[in-house]
Amino acid sequence: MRFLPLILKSIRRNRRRTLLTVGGIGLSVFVIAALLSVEAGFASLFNSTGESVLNVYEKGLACPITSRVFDSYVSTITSVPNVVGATGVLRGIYSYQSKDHLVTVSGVDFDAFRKLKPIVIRDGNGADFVARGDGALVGRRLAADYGWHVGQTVSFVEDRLTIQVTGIFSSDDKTYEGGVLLHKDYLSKIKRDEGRSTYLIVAVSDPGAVASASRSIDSALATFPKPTTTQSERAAKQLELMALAEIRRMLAVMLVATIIVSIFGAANSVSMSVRDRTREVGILRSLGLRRSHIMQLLIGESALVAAIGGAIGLAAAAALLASAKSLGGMIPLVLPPAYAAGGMGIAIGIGVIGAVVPSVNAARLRVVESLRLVD
Amino acid sequence: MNIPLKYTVRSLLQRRSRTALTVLGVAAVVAVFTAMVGLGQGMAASFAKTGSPDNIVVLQKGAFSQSLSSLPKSSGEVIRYVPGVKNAGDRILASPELVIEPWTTAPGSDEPRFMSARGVRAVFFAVADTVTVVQGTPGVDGNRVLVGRGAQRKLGGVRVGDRIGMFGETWQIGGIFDAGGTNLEFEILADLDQLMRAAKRDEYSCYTVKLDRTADADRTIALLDADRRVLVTAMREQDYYASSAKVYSVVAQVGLLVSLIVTLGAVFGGMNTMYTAVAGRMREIGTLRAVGFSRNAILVSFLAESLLLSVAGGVIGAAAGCLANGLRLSVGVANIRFIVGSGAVTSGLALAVVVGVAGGLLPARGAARATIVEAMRRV
Repeated sequence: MRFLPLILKSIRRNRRRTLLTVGGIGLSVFVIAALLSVEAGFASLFNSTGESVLNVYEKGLACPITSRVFDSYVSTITSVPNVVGATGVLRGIYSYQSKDHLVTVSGVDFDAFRKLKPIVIRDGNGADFVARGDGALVGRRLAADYGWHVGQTVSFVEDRLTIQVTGIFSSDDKTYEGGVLLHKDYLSKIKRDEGRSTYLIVAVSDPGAVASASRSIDSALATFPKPTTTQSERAAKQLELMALAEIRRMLAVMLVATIIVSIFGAANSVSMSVRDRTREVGILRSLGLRRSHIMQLLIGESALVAAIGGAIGLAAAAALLASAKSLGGMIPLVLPPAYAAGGMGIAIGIGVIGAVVPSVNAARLRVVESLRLVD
Repeated sequence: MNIPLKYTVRSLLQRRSRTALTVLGVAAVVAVFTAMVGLGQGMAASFAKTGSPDNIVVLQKGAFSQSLSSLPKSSGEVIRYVPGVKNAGDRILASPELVIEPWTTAPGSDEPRFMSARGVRAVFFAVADTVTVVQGTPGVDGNRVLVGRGAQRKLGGVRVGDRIGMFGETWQIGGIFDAGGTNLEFEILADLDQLMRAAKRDEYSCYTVKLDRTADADRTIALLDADRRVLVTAMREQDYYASSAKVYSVVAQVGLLVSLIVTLGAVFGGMNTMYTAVAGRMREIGTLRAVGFSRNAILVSFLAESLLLSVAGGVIGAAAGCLANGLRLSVGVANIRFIVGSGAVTSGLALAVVVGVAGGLLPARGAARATIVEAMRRV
């Protein structure tokens, strides 16, 4: 840290080079932060699943939205040992104003749903929601994205679905917080799906009972008109996202490629700065600075420049995310502090790794030679 | 007179590490860009052929796609008799279909795959004239299915005679079909009633109808959209395929956007390199000018240096990008192949040239502007 004044001075010496390096790293970190936020969006959907919650879907289908199970299954399910409660959810995807703005709508039996998935109503109240057949509770994130408020009437393109916003809620479960809750009766009439749900949520007494309860439910319903497949909510979400697995892999490859490109850029920048200062390095060494000090100086300088670029890139990414809505109405796009810190860590890492080879070379120069070097 | 290229090459070779790093940086960027262009071309090829001009797709009103659409069986009574639908002697060319996405198991692998299955009747083959059975025998009945080429690959290269599992039942592959490059190639065709029974569905997904005359398309669509007995949306088959292709192309577009942003970062790196090169060779520049080379010659020489670096990186990068050729990416039900051919390589090299010019222009101008006296004075 005592080298800080020296570092600052040498950064200022060649402003153009510093600016270009900061810009290059800033752009790379911007891309990295954007890719990380998509990953964070995926991760948040997993983390919000309850540990002792099961999902019951129609058997054999890969696309969950097309699943249909009968509400009448609930009575059979609740008699399975360890089951604490069960209720159905009817899902639909609707476009708001255009197909670019997709909203996920969940029709629920409010009283039963609240017991299994606690929600906190921030604005408006539950009584109003219950009183209106076409009432809707809008997730906090969604309401913020589209500027909806209590008392507003919202119409969607498909099925001419119209709802009345009676409350804004927040929930630990991010999948619901990004969408709208409606009364199942209302939604099922519009979708011609009376008596059916997309899936059932089942709460069991403790996480250990998940596997056995899943098996019991499926075998109890095996002879029914539509057999089911039951699994923990987390496993269900994982299957849902399997279709996108390869895209996530591609994003990961791009992330790595971006990091590699910036390491080259940082290494280039440091080696240029070292070349400029060979004589300075020689003088410092002759004054008594050790090789490790020289390395500290150079690596520290590179890390600082990279950190500045990283901060700018992260800020730009945060600004972009603030204006972007969630991905397809289902994957929230945010940059949580942990991921932002990770992005900054990557930026500094790029600066450090890029600087290693050039600074080792600089430190290795013999004092006499470096003093003699003119250009 | 222009400064000989030998000077440029030798200058680059003098600063090996810097040259190498810049070239590698450009190579990495061009490699990613070339691969992304290859992905875009693969998508375009997969969804290139856009269906028959005289077919109309009829969906539930407001449905996003055939798989999310649901039509009651009774809707056939209206749809089949709408004016404009072709009547080929003994039957009306209106094909009811069930489009559903089952977890499908293929022989040799326990892992189920996300596939698209379409339940059809015999009339389908008269309506969907892009479908040609290239192996095995045509027709679906009982638990005999036809697998499209794209689906065949996605299932890991299954063959006629193999058995696949859908909805807990076994289906035998009776044939492999081609569909002129349309989405249909990613699907499994099965008997409609059999599939509805296995999937426990009692409604169709959609109808595909053939028009008597292509010119009738707009009128028939309008009649279907306005009909009050069935709530449907109708569109030309080509329009339907075009809109589903758009969904997939988003992936390639995002990839391209990301690689372009990273390219900008590489341009900054290139500029850095060139500015340093210029600064380090000020006395040389002064000498060259004193000897008689014009400002223009200096400009061209440094621009050439920048281009040499970037094109070298471009060639390496394009070659690396070619490694992605043939890779497959599963996007939903589709399976896209990267096509890194002359098109993608040319784009990659073009990008390298742009990077070279963008990175070298300003520094080269700075070099050209220096006055001889100042340049010679620099140590």
